[in-house]
Amino acid sequence: MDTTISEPLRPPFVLQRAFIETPFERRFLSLVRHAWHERSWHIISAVPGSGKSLGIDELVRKSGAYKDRTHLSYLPVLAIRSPKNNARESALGEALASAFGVIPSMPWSRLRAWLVQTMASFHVECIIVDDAHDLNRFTLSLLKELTDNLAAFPYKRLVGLCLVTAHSGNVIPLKEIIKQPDEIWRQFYRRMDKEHPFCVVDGHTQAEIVEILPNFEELYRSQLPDLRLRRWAPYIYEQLTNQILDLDSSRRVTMDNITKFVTSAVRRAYDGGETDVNGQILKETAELLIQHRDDLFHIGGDSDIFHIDSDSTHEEPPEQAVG
Amino acid sequence: MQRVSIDDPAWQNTFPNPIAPLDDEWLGGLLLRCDEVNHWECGATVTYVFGIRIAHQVPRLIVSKSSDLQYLAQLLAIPEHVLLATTFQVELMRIFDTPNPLPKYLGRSIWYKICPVCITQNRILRRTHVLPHIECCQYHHIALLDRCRCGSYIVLFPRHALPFTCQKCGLHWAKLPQIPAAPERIVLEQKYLSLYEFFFAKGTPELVACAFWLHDYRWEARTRRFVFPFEGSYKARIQASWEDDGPPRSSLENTIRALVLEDISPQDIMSILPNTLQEGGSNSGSN
Repeated sequence: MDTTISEPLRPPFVLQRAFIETPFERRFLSLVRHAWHERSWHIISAVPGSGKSLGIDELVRKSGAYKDRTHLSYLPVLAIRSPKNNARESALGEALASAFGVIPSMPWSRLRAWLVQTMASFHVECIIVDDAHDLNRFTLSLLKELTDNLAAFPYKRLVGLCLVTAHSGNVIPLKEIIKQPDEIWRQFYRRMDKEHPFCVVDGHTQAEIVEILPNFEELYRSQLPDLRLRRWAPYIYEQLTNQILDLDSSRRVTMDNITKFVTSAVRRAYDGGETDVNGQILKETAELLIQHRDDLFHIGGDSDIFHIDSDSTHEEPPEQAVG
Repeated sequence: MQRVSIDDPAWQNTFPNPIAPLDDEWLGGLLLRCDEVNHWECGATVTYVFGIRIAHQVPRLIVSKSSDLQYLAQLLAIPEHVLLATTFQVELMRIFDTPNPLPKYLGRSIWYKICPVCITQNRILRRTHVLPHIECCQYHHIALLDRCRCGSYIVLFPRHALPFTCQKCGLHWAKLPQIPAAPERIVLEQKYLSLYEFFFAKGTPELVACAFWLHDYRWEARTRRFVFPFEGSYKARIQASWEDDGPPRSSLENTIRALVLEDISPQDIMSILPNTLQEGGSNSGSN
């Protein structure tokens, strides 16, 4: 009599979504908090995928903002994403207004005045513009105008300003505009922080990756009980600082790359029935994500290769987003 | 919900400053208050929610489409039934036993009137001040106004004006004159209001039929034209009411005017009701 007991089927792999306060986030958010509390102006830059947007979201979420029926509403940190495609100032105005919730459409001349009034009544203390590399001289002028009006009578409110940009190489976006000799840009530059007006926040070193990996171990403990990623930190660091991913040869690693590498490896291990990652899995992951990333992928007959289990799509949250 | 925090999904789906209705507040006044607390031009909220500027369409704020109120409830982060209480929708549905009551069921002479003290104290336009026959504020014993000092009629949602101000001269409604109401007028309107409250709380078609029977009975007794035998007349009136599938025979405005003219009070009506109707009416009212 056959007594073989088949192994029970594992449920679909579930990607975990959580904010990890990485060393990059600590560096980035300490600078933004400085701008908030000192009401100083900065252009803060980091390479794409560092985790800037996620950090801004976390800061806003924990800023204590609320709408109150007593009309004493509070939004200390007003964070928006810059409008794209060389937008006019009205587009930036609408983005700022939408941060307060639903508002009826109104002429731009009225919205302009409404923004100042509402920012004052909500006690806005710091404005953060993400993707600020998309700002232009029109939208930058509007930011200056709004903050000037808030600083003037009757509001008398100083507001911090963080223009958060993505950069590559040693070029800091917006710096060229703001350093122009025109009067408006001289005024703008004068308002910027005297000591650190232009800041670049670096990605992660190998030692910092060692600090980050235990967070992933905790996140996936329920699915891979023996997961020990820390011991692979040197390998992961080496893979993520190769020329393909580290375009500027900075020897720093973005959180986006760490997340993608780790989740891909963890998923492979889980799908393979393992309880931990191993060298072979990491090697395959590195080959797929890095060395063969741009290879053409031919889809012939097997349509199931992109099959998504309906149950897993129902439960599965999106992969951790880093901007 | 007193507060909406920024990590609440409702943050993005609500007005910057959401408000909740005050006690006895009428929907029109709530919409104006919403404009004011959000620093918007007069009529911004009503135009946004109802799709059109309804400066001269006050009846649309007497009974409102459920979809409009649902959307407004979402924008203010309050339950829909709280907003329904700022209209006369629920009461007219019950009194006339119809799912879609028309504003004219309340009356044809509906217009909004301002109590300057109510505006000063709470920026409130009261539901009771919208009712036909009501011309003075029972809280402050002053006359309700429908014109500004400059002579122009007060418009609820004028273009290019601030909320609660005259469209012509810009005078704030709080600064309109406070004219003491005549004591006899106040007493008379208390009779009107007690009947409105009675029908709003307990009104059903059967109750209205009973009230009409009592009216006819009193009138016939007073004019000595004819006096029906009590039982027969009552049953006939109720029967006629139930068999009538057409539009209501009378708006609430006309019904209440007729009852006041015959000096009929809610207690008078209750005293002639059989026990079954009294219990049914009470239950309806409590719901």
